[in-house]
Amino acid sequence: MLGRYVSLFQQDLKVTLRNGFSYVVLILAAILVAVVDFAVPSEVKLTPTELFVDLTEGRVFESVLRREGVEEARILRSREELTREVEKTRSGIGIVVEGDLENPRFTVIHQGTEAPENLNLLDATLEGLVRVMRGAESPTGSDIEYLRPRAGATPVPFNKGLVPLIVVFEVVMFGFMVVAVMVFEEKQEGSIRAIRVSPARPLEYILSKASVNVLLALVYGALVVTFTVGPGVDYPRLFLLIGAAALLMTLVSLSVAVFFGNVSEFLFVAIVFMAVFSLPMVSYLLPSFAPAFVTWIPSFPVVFGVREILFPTGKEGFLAPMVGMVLAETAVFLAASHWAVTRKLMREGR
Amino acid sequence: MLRPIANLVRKDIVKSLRDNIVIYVLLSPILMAAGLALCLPSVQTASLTFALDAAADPRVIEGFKEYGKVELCETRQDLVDRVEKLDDVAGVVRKGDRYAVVVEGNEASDVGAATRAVLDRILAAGTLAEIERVSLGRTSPMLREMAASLVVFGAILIAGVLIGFAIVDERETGVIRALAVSPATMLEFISSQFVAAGAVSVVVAVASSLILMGAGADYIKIVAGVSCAMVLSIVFGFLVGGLADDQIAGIAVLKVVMLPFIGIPIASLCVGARYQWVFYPFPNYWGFQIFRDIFTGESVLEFWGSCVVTLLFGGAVIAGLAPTLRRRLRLR
Repeated sequence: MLGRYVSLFQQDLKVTLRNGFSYVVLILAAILVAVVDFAVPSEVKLTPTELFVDLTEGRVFESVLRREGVEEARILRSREELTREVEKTRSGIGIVVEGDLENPRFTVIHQGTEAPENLNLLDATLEGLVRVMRGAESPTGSDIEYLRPRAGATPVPFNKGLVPLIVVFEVVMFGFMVVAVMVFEEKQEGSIRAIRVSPARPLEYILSKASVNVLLALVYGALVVTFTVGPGVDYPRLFLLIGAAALLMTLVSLSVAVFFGNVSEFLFVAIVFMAVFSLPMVSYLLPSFAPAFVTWIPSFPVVFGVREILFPTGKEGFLAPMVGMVLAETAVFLAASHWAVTRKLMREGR
Repeated sequence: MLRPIANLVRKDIVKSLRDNIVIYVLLSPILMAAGLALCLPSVQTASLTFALDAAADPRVIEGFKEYGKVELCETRQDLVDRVEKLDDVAGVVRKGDRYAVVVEGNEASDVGAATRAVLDRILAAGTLAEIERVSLGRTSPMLREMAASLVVFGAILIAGVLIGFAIVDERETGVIRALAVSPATMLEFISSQFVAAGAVSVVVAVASSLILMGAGADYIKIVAGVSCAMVLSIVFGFLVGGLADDQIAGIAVLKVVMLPFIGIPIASLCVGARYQWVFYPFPNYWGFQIFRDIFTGESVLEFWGSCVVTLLFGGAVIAGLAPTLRRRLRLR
């Protein structure tokens, strides 16, 4: 079995290189590295932007806001200017503060589409700010306990924080299209007929294609990670997770692709599949959005796992159960792809 | 000239129907728009989740419900396990008559502080500030409008993919050789692609807009905008169809071309007005501006201005690509 697998693997690798996918990996990796390193800023605010006007005597709040890192562009001079900006941005929230530190009056100008809970949270945060400025103790004496010693470390810059997204939703998913392309090419060139009459079994056929895609994903991932995050990454653990996830994606694709006649037909179905697998991207960028159905998508735990490997916070013991779960899903899709390849691909035209 | 174009369009329609491509082309973006319509309300109203000690004062538990979702945990270990899950959840644990906020440490920076502020507000004797709210009274969330802009722009991309793969297929099956010896000219070929893919993208754009925005959108502008932005579909299709010799290479080219084509509009959403000029040299940026104007009312130029720039810019790129394509397709 091993000999047949190795020979199929060599053949698939040659075909993939011949089709220029190695160049595609290099070009895409170069573009993505350039985008992360040079185009995306290190700080981007994705939640609604708050704009401020301090009309208190001596503008006591302005200096505190600046100290807290609020950019100059978000501190405006008049209520009219603030209202105009909030109307223009259509997602921003304006905060006018009047009175003095002992009796502050806040006016929150909002769009009207925000969840009431989030507006209440803003009220609590504003009161928290007043409390801090007055130097008052927390009435409850409540502390913040961090579960891990590295908590509170330097926050990950926004551009580097995009790397886990790229690794999972581009690098890992790259194999989704490539494996389909390999199948369609074999159908088109007629080499599938040769495979049907060869001693190669469906399992060897599937594993050889999956191995090529895992290899591509590892090379692609290593290039992107090394030139964005740096060489000091725990590569064995990263490769384990990328490899397992890429294997799963390849098998999902193979289970579906064999039912289509050509790339053009499959392409549009693949877009829907990839859109569903990409949904956890929203949860990654907006952590409060994590409905149950999104957490069931296999890419959901993987993207957070990759983040923990690239930017460790000290979380231990997460990798084994995560990889175990991905491998269990892989086993299901290995069975599905075996069935599909045996029933559809190996018998077609007989 | 019209008859040859009609013949070429008929040929493309027959081919697409035979391969079921039209069904997939129409269904996939509509399915995505429907999925977005389902997800967007929960994204827009996403609020924090708090894991509370079940032994907490009922006033605290009820109070937290005003600020987000509440999950009760029977033991400290349950609470720690919940906080350690992958989403950003802060825990509140009771310690005698005091409370502590429990966070993992890798959450968005202010989750712990915000939870403590909520706790203080619930337990404080009085308020520290007078807070008044003024609503601008919007009913349609910005996120939905942005999603609609992107989905309709996606219809342009889909038309481009359709054109690109139709050209590749014609090269592979030898149809293009037959066209080369027929009276069909390059202009007729481009026009037929424009008509066939244009019809598909108009249907996709209108259906997606109906799903996401309902009847309230300006459908005349949507059809006019799609018709103008179709020039980008031709650019995209010609890049894929011109560079790829077969469908496999088509996918490789598609992967590379799609990244800037869709990435530039998305990036322009994250960049402030001061730096939008960075995107001016890209025709797809102007195409996206058309739909931003329709759905969000925000654009660098007004609707018609964006349409004109897109047409001029896209037309210039097509004129630049045409000689290469003519040579590769061997059309007159």
